[in-house]
Amino acid sequence: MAETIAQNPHNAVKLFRYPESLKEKFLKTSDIEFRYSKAVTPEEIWHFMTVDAPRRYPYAYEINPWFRDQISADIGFLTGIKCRYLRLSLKDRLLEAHNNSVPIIFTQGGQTFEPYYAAGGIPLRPGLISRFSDDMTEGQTLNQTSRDHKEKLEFGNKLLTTESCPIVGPHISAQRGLIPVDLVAPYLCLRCSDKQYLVESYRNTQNVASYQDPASRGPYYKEKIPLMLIDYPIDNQNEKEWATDYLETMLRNLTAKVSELSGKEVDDRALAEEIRYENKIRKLTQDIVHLWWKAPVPPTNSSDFAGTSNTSAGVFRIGNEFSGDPNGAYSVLKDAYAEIQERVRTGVKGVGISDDPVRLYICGPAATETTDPGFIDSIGGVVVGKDDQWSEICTLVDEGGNNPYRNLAEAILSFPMELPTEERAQWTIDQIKQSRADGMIFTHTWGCNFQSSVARMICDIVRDEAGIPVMDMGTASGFNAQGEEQSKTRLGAFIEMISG
Amino acid sequence: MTLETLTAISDAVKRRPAELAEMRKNGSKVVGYLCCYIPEEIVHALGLVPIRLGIGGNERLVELGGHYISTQNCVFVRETLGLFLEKEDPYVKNADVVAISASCMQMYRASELLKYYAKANTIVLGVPRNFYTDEGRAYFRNEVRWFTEKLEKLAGKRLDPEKLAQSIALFRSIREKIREIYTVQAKENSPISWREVLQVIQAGYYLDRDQYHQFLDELLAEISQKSGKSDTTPETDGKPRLILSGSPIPPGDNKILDLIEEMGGRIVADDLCFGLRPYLGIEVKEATVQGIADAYLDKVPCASLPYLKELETDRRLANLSNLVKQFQPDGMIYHTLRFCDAFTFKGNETKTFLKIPFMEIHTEYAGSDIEGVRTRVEAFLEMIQDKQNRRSE
Amino acid sequence: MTTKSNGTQIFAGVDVGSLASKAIIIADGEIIGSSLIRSRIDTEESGRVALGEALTSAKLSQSDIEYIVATGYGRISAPYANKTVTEITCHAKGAHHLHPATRTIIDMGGQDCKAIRVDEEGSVLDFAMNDKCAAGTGRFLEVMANVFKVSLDELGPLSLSADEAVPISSTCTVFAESETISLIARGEKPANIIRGIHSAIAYRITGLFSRVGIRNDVYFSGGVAKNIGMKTALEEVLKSKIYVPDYDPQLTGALGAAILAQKYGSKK
Repeated sequence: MAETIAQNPHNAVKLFRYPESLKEKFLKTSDIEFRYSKAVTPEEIWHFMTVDAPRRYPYAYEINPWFRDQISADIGFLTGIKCRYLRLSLKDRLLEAHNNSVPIIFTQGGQTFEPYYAAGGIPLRPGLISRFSDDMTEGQTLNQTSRDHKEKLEFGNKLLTTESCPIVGPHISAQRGLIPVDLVAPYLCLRCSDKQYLVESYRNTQNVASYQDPASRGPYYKEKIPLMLIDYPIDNQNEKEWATDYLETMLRNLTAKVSELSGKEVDDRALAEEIRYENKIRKLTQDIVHLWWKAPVPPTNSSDFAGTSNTSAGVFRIGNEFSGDPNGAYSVLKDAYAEIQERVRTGVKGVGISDDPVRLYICGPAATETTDPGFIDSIGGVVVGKDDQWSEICTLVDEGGNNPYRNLAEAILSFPMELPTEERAQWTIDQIKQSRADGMIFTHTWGCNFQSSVARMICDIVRDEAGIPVMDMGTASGFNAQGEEQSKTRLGAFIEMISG
Repeated sequence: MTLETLTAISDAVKRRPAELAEMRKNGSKVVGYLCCYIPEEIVHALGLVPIRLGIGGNERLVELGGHYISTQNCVFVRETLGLFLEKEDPYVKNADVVAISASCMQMYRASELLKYYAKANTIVLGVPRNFYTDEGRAYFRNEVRWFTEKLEKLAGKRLDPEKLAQSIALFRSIREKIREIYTVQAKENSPISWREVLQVIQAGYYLDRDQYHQFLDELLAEISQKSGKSDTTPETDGKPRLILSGSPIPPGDNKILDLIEEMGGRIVADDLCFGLRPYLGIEVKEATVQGIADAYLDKVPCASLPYLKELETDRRLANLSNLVKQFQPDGMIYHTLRFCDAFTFKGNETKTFLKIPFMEIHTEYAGSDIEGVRTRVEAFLEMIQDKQNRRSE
Repeated sequence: MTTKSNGTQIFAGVDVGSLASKAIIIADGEIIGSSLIRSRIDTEESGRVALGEALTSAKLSQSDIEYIVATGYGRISAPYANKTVTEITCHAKGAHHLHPATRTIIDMGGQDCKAIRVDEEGSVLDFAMNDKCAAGTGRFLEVMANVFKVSLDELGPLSLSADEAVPISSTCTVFAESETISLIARGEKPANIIRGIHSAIAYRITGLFSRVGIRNDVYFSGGVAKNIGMKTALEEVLKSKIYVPDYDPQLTGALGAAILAQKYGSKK
């Protein structure tokens, strides 16, 4: 599989290294174009991924069967290297943007990002804020970075509540100023019940004793970070004009605020252009996904396709989560499409996928990472879909007319995952059929009451109407980089059950 | 010792389910509602019968509900689902429709599950998170208008502006009287206790509103009469005075209330949604559907609605400050249910803001942690008592 | 070599749990050796020792075994096994082998508790696990036995000697322990409290069933199945008889693993 060289002074840890034999082929691939930084060539990417990143972020290269974000065994999938490059170059690109006065905005996962990019900002979902913050300390092993990560989570639990979803960790990072955050302005879609209270908690930061201590503050600490909630009117929302009015107004306010921070003028045309660009990304991702689904054998493994939300290394994810740069994401997706198309044409199967794997469709919030893609592959499964980001990717925004804000609002209000649960279940069944899934798993993390509340209902509807086995799987912790035993047993049993 | 009117009210509540069943046979329609953002005035003005549903403290129903919703949802929501699944509660049985507001997100989910698993007829009223903005107001006004249209269909008639004006006046008066009675209970020689006032408030969820209004008048008269008498023993000398805040404590959830009484504390104020809060800061300025929408949006808000501006301008906190000033409690017990994010997230913040002795009790309906809770309450009361004693030395 | 002189192939199943490790040796579908030991900290060692003792009981050595399947929590460190399978699938197979009329299995083990529905071939149709907390597990009952200062084996009979069940409302081991202590302090009879504990556990398990559904016959496996009080409490809640095998119910998983070893190992 891969050569292993212990590069780390903590010599108990084995680090992965991309083999030199790949280099020649890799150098023939294309550059990654960026919007907020200059383009990078394959030479530069290769150097970063084989020399700089292993030294700076050794945890990402650890060979450890319990490490969920393990580098994919399918190193021949060259776009996979670029996906990981996007993720590992995040910190450098964001600090560069920050130094160029580009505002960084804390958002939610699974939402659209046009207003932020159109107004010259960079939106980051909780997982990316988390990684950005953890990467501020370089040279860490997996254990070290996990400990740091956990510390913020625990702090948030003590300050607010132990019943919070794991995104409390990145919010603590933002409040402490470990990373620059210029605005907190998430959509409330996926109607996250905790996000709203986490945003609300910023107004109390001046009273938090430990933030007063300069020693515990980060270099980017601010007394007051501006706050906004782009509310999501719920319940048959796409049938109500006034719900669209409400959301449209909030989107306008959002864009205006980002524009104020970036200094970039935004007119309707700028938003319309951004919508067109991001529709291209959505459409391309949809094409990739359908191509992959139709293939007789999975052309990539689960890590490269669905990935995990921490690495955003899966092409599926990049379609919604641009790692801070839509142009970068688009570049990589184009490569992904070409490479997957070629693999489908030649009948190549993703490395690590067994013969006739059990195809699993996963539902549930992005904040959950209970489904270790590498592990699933190793026990005879494969992840064919994950609904939270797919819901947004599936929804193209109307490009006609002269009110792009309204078009965007209408699109957002029709996200399949936000519709009444019975309709959401029907959409899920549709995706299950298209992806030829053999089973569905509904995952939900500790602290997520909004998604966990409909787990059984969706499982029941899917089981009864799609006639496939379903499993409702909750977990105790959220961003645990090393997967849990209980989840592994359940996944194992579920796959065994379906294999007969 | 008990006031006569209290007995009369309690008897009326006992008769109510049978009354409702009879009324429904004769064509009346009952609108059960699960949250205090549902505009009662509109229900009443359409000739529909508003009944506030929901009970607490029943672990068996929590368990039942937990089979369909997750065990990571708050016990009140789980119990509500259990209540509807079991269908033995007389008010649930007599509700033609169940109205739920999307202020608490878990309650919203419950509405979906009630519809799917318990086959309830639900109507959802959307509530904006950005409830203090212009766009939020516009949204809510539309939601209330649309909600009214749904109720009109149920009632089989259009909303009559005169009837609306009358209902508004009635409810305004009810709220005034409740606030008046409430003010009495905190006084030293009060003939009515906080607990009894709570029962009066909760009786108001079920009784015919005109009859209830009359009861309140009778109660006020009896109180004023009894207040003069010298043989009313001052039962509250020296007891530590408490203000109770936090998650909903619906009828039937007696755990913390009994415990506080047992350990010698005296509750003199609350901002609970099954207590005083729905009657505070609510003023319908215009006798229209829009006027009602504005009044409900502007009243003292539920913690489920996030407020992003400065703490100093937060109405929930301002209201708590006012209650502290008015009722002079010695300390606050902040009672939160497990998984009730709305209140739990704000525990520390509330403590820091109010700067009075503060204790959070985080619990569920199960009696298993009763000893632990008892110890906490006892210790808190000792602490307050000790502080008082030291002050008076 | 790996077959006896008469040509019979021999297979082994090893179930490494958190409290106990078990192994079963079968030949021609018949059990010829078994073991049950207390698990050690080193899970690999636990599995090896359990396997070793089972082999000794059958007068065989590891080289006589054609194929080994490992299951249980310790299957992740079982390099001696040819294949690992989850305990859900193994319990299904084991229960079916001992009692072919089984359609639902309740397994209460050391650290988790499961409900498994199976078809007429012992294949899993659906399952639910309650492994987020200790209520309803061997660990929980060990804690209770300790509170009453009795051995684990005495809990069941004590429970049956009660004249009524004291209601326990805790859903958590830690709180159940303190609740039990306060009940003792209040003067409740130990037997009645113990009965209440068994009832509470049985009631708790019904939550698992609501997702999986119950069909007769119901088979009770795992170490806790040896507790007569628990069997009785479950029958009361389910309102029907449940089946506890004569053969040690704690060995069901290992037996299923051995049967699967036979299935996979025979494809030669």
